[in-house]
Amino acid sequence: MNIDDFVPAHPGDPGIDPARDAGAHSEAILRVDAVSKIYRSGDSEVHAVSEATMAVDQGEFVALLGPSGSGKTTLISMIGGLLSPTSGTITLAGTDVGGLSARALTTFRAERVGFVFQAANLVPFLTARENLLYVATLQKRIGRKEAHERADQLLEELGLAARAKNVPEQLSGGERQRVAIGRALMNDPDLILVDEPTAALDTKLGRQVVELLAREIKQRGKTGVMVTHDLRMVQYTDRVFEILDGHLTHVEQPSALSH
Amino acid sequence: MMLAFNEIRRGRGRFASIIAALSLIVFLVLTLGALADGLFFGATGAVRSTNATAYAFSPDAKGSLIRSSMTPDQVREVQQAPGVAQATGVGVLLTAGSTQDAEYDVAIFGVDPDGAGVPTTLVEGRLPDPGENGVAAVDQSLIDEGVAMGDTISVGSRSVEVVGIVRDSAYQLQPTVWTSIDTWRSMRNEVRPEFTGVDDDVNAVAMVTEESSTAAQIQQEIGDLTILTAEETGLAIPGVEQQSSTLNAIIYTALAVAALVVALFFALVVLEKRELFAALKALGTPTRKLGAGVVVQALIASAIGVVIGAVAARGLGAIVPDEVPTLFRTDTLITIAIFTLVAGVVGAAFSLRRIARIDPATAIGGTL
Repeated sequence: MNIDDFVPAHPGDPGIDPARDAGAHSEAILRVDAVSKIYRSGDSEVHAVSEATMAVDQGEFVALLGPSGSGKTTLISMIGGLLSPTSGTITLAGTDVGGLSARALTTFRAERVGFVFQAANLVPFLTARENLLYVATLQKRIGRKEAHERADQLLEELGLAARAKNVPEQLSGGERQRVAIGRALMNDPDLILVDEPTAALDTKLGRQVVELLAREIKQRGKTGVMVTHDLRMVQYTDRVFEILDGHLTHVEQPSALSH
Repeated sequence: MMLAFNEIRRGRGRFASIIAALSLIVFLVLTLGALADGLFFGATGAVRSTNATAYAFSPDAKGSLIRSSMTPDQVREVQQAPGVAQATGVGVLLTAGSTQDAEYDVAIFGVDPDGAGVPTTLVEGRLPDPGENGVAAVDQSLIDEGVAMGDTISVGSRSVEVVGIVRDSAYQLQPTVWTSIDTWRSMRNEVRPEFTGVDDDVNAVAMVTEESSTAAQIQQEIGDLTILTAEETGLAIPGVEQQSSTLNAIIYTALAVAALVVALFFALVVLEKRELFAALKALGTPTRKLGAGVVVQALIASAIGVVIGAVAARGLGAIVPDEVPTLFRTDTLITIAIFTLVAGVVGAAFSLRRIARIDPATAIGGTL
């Protein structure tokens, strides 16, 4: 089952106000406020994301659903400090992401955001353990000794202790994605951004990986945003947002999505 | 740097290709360098390894010792010129000299042991004493070919006894025999009968100039003669400058090729790693760190190439026959090593813009 197959219950229904839905969370650690991204080519304008507003609390794991071309990649890239919004503001734990310089954004991503990419995208010539340690070299908050302890602890928790010295080539797809999760958690970020984590995995492994992600995010009191087009993964998340043609809506009843 | 080192360590196969290419280039460059040095040093020793700082030649000689011919009046003119501390005649004869056992191509140099143009590279024995005829100090290469101290070297009916050994004094790749001017002239007159009766000429004048004066200033004083520094005199030896510039041109071309090879290699590596670099940037890796990694890899590959190339070149140098004038100098090795490392860095630098242009946002989304 795929979101591409399904027709939203209330497309463009004025009764659904994402700002109201999202605004209810006054303790939100992540705030996306009227964020738009407009691409201009020649005379035409493409509104990749229009006036998106959402708020996510600490400890929450939310899903961002949408078909390809819906703007979900653009939105998550802006949240992660990879793209700058055309208008609107994004704040993460009090930091105005849009106000950061390019250099500050690099540090911001290293220290405050953990990324899990579609295809794990591990460094092929580093072992599982070194992949974790590498991101620790990009920040200054965690010392060298602590980083080593942390890497070992994460690998242990993710069931990778025996694979610590293996390079990605020697790992299965699921193991690679677990290393990627460990890497995302390594620098103790405020926010974990997950981009289609099951894209390169079969259904069973995909479920295991997302389940593990959800558990790690809960246990550590982290905040997670997962981009997916796979409705079956929604059950592991706390709330669901949907984006269609650049318009973000909060889905009140995710169960309704699958009929 | 963690990335750079581990990539080379775990990706040896890939880096083996660039290291092999650089090793071959360094091997080529060092071998050519040794040949260039061998030719240059072998041709110019007789004017480099002496106490002379400048030489005077007859006007039509174009700075060639052999072509030049000077009268006692001309020698005196040089001696009396301001800025000249010491000036004495030098005679040169390219001929064959024979010992009891064998015949050798030699360059007989007649000099005044108290004057200028006398070798300063004595390694054994002595030079002829002032006024002493019939004895000579010979170049080390002649000893290597089988001549011994105490041997007699004959040219026609004239002969000299070997009483000393000097090094690095070859002239036009021929071993030199340093004797008195009178002995030189008597040998010359045997070989060249047209000089019969001429008993006061020399080929050129060797000078020790005063510290405050230059060859150019002395040239102004003595307009009718050609004054060259010792270094210019070396370059004026037929073929020397042409050989040096030809070989150097090949060497610099090869080094440019090294830079190009490194540039192409890293352009490919970076192209292949676009996706990884985008992900690493998204994770918070600064561009300069990725760039520095590539430069460090180029330096490591170049350094390993220098080591392998140098060992191979020395290996070849050890087995080439003595007739091939090769000379491995540490100076040249260091220069070429530095140029190779610079070529590596310059080559890698071409990839930096490419790395800078990789957009971290492409790490998200991607395949779906």
